Amino acid sequence: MEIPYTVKARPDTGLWNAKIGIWLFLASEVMLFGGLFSGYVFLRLGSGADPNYFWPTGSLEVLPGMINTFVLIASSVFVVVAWVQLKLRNWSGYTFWMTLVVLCSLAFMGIKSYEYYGKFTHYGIRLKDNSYIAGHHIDNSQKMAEIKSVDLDLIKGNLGFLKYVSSEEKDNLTFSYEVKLGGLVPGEEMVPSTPNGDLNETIKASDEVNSALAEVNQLLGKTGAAVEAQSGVRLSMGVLKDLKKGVDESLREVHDARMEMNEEVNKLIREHNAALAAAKKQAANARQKTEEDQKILDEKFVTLVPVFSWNKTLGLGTLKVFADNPFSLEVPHNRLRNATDSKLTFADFSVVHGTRDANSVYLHVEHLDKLDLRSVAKPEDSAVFNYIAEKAINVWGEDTHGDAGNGEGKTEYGGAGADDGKAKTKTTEELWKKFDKNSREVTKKAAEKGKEPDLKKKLTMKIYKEDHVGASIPYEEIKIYSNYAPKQNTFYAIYFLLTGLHGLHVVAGAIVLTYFLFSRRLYEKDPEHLANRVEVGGLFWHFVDLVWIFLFPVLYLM
Amino acid sequence: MADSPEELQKHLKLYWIIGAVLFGCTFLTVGVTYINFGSKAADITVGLLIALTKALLVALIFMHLNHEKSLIYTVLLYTFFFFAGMMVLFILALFDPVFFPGFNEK
Repeated sequence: MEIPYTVKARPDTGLWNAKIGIWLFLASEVMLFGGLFSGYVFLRLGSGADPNYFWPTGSLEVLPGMINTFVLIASSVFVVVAWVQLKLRNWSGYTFWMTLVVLCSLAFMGIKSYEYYGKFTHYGIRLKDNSYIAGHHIDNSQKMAEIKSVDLDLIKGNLGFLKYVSSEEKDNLTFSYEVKLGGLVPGEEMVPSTPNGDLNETIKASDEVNSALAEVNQLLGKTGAAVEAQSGVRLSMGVLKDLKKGVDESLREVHDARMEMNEEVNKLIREHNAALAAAKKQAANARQKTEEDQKILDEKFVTLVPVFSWNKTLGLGTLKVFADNPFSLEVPHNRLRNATDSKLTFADFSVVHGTRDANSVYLHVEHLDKLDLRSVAKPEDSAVFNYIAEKAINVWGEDTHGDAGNGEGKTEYGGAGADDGKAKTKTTEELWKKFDKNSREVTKKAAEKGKEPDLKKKLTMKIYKEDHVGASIPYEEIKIYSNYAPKQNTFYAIYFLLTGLHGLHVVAGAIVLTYFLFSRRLYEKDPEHLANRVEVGGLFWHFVDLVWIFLFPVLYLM
Repeated sequence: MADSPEELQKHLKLYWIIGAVLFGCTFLTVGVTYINFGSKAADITVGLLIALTKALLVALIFMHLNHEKSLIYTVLLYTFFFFAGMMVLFILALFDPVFFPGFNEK
């Protein structure tokens, strides 16, 4: 079917169809982005009502945003130049400029990905006293050593802990003693033990129930008429038989389930025994192995002995796994429901019993880059200063370092200083002297102007990365922490929504323009038709640029 | 719409000039953030005015809105009306009462 008015204008509108189509579409796009911009204004104004939340103005890096603005403006020029080349019937010129447009879109998305990555690896931490710090490279792992048993539930199938034991899942995790299992590796001579669920015992119990029921039947048969007369309920042997049949079926189901489970366990054992044998054979073949290597190899394998226990009332099975050789594992904090000194409860309710590493009670931040005490009632008593591992803090762009890093009373990385009470370290003392000096100046200047001093502005501190200031904060002191994802605060929620939607438009536009790049056949058949298509694609591309023209100052600069 | 090669070449030159102006305006947008115009509202207004100028240049020159058919202007008039409505909706929020027991002045 021929689509009309692709080149010629319609007599009633004076426009070719795609032109009016794209403008109607762009009008709807204006409403879409307009609604989101309106939402942004609401959120920003609303943030002013919460005394503990400050709109994070200037928290985005300006340079990548500015480069992306240049990239989009350049692409906007290129797309209109490409369109002119088509109008001039210059195919090679058109492909050259359109290729540049597509490359610009790739550059834009590349820079945007870099920015997103930076956000996802940047963490904000609010303490219970409302102190706020931000930084990179956190270690929120929970390390458990001397693990001798794990509680599992076969019905839930909660084997989630295994992936933290398995070596390939924890490339970035380290602990002193490593268990490399590649899954569970049972010992060579391991036989499954079912002390509370022995099959013979169950069968025996079934026989006992059967004989007891036979006795009841006999008794009821004799006294049935009397019981019926007294209770008014008619008892029949059929009912009793059904009851017995039901019991038999239940017991049989338990037998079957147990048999099936034993079969599964035996299969698992056979597989892992084979894997173990192969690994050991390989180790034996490596003749250069020293005695120490062999020892390490042995330590890498832990024999896990599953022991079933049955809930007699519900007939459900639980599995407790005992390790013959205590092992360690490391789990990110956010994968756990609970952590105590003796056990870790995973999100899937499996429980690992062992000894928790003393360092695991802290959230470690390698590089702090921001300290914000605006919401703290008494900034000078902020809990943050008990947990900063200092080297130097550069406040208000001035160096306060001096020899503070070597001073006595330095808080050790690892949070040891937390136990020393509220005593400030040398650098933090200097920092607060500086604050006092600044605050006096601000107060004096405000008094000269007859205004109230705005000391809160002095409570946002930038910490330079090269100073390598870190912190170890006990989890019990933390109110909330997360990376700079949408959940961090309303600013990042709307930031990701706006830039994400805009990014999708860039991708969509790039796909369409790339398609036009390969439309040589249409060019040869009807060059004006292709020129019109490119004009429509270009209009969309300009709109994408136009949205960014507002997004850049609103999100990055204001 | 310019269709003769001469006119197209003339427009081509204009596109490059507008591109350069947009680049300059971007530098200006970043530059003015270092200047204090007296209040946060004034700073934001200046930033948005520059952005608006850039947007107008893109719309008028690159999107050819400086010489379009009347139907498109009609469509955009309605769009602008509703867009402007959304942009002033927040004024209503200024009248929302917010209570914080133990309110901490910012």
